[in-house]
Amino acid sequence: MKRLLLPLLALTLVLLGAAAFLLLPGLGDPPGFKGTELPEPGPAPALTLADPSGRQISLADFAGEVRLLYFGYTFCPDICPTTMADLAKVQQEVDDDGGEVQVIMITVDPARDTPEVMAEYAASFHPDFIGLAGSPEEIATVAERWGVFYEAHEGTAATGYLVDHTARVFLVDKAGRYRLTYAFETPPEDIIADLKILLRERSEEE
Amino acid sequence: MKRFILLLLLPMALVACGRDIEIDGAWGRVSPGAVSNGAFYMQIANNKGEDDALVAVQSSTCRTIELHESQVDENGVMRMAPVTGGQIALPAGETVTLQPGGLHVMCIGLARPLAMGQRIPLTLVFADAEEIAVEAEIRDEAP
Repeated sequence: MKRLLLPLLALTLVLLGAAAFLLLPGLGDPPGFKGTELPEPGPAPALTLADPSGRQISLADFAGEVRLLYFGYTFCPDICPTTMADLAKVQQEVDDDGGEVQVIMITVDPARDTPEVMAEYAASFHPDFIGLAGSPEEIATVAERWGVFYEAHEGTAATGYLVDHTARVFLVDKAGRYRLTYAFETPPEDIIADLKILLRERSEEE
Repeated sequence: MKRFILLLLLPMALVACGRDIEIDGAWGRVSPGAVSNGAFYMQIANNKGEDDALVAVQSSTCRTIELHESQVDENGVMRMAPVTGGQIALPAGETVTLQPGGLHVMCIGLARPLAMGQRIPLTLVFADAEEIAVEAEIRDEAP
């Protein structure tokens, strides 16, 4: 009996290992992302809008950097500044680590947000942040490409109108692939954790 | 022994009953750029045995104040709109939290941008309780 004990023990261990392997998928995979991964990350949709000086700013200008995009509007006092303040925390942390990340905010309220307003708004959260606006047609085109929903609804006499809009943050990796999205209220720490992985990746393509 | 515990609890109960409505942690975010709007947040405890409601907020800092709520739906779309009925319900014995991404006091038409460290006087008007004056601290993140 004693002679059987060792092989039995070995067999049990092997079976347990196999069960763990089957029951815990992803055990051997690289660490997962906190953000929502796109099922098939592909080249990021095009995005080109003019800055206040009239210079065309394009997503491709930041090739080799991780890019974080947010669609919002400056009339919004709650969700938009909350998200931008969180992204400023992310940027600060990345700066301290010497990483390269570009945050870009695009207005969904082209009637009220001019390129000047957007540039000043974005830069108030972090000097490197870029805020972009455009004509209603340009914004509609960009939003459609990115799958961003936005729709003005009537407010009061004081607010005029308010804009419902997709409140997620989109991430484009160093190689220019639209890769992850983050829901509103994602802790900055989660985005920072993902960036620590993504900033180590190589940047080809573009 | 039981009497002793009751004696201990008595002052605590008196403190809790001290104020019908208690406001805690009122704050607002530093204005990003020259924006015309802002939001104020706080916790409102209704220590009474009866329901009440926050019906209005007044401040000379804002041209108009509305009580708003932001909601994000299952598709990640954010919608901000005035609260139903224009007031925030304060159920008896409960604490209602106004916070980013939810209920907030929307300040429309800022005379000047909200700056770090400012204290903005607000007067809260209730359906039943007396008005309460508070100061919202302007900061770059939630307290």
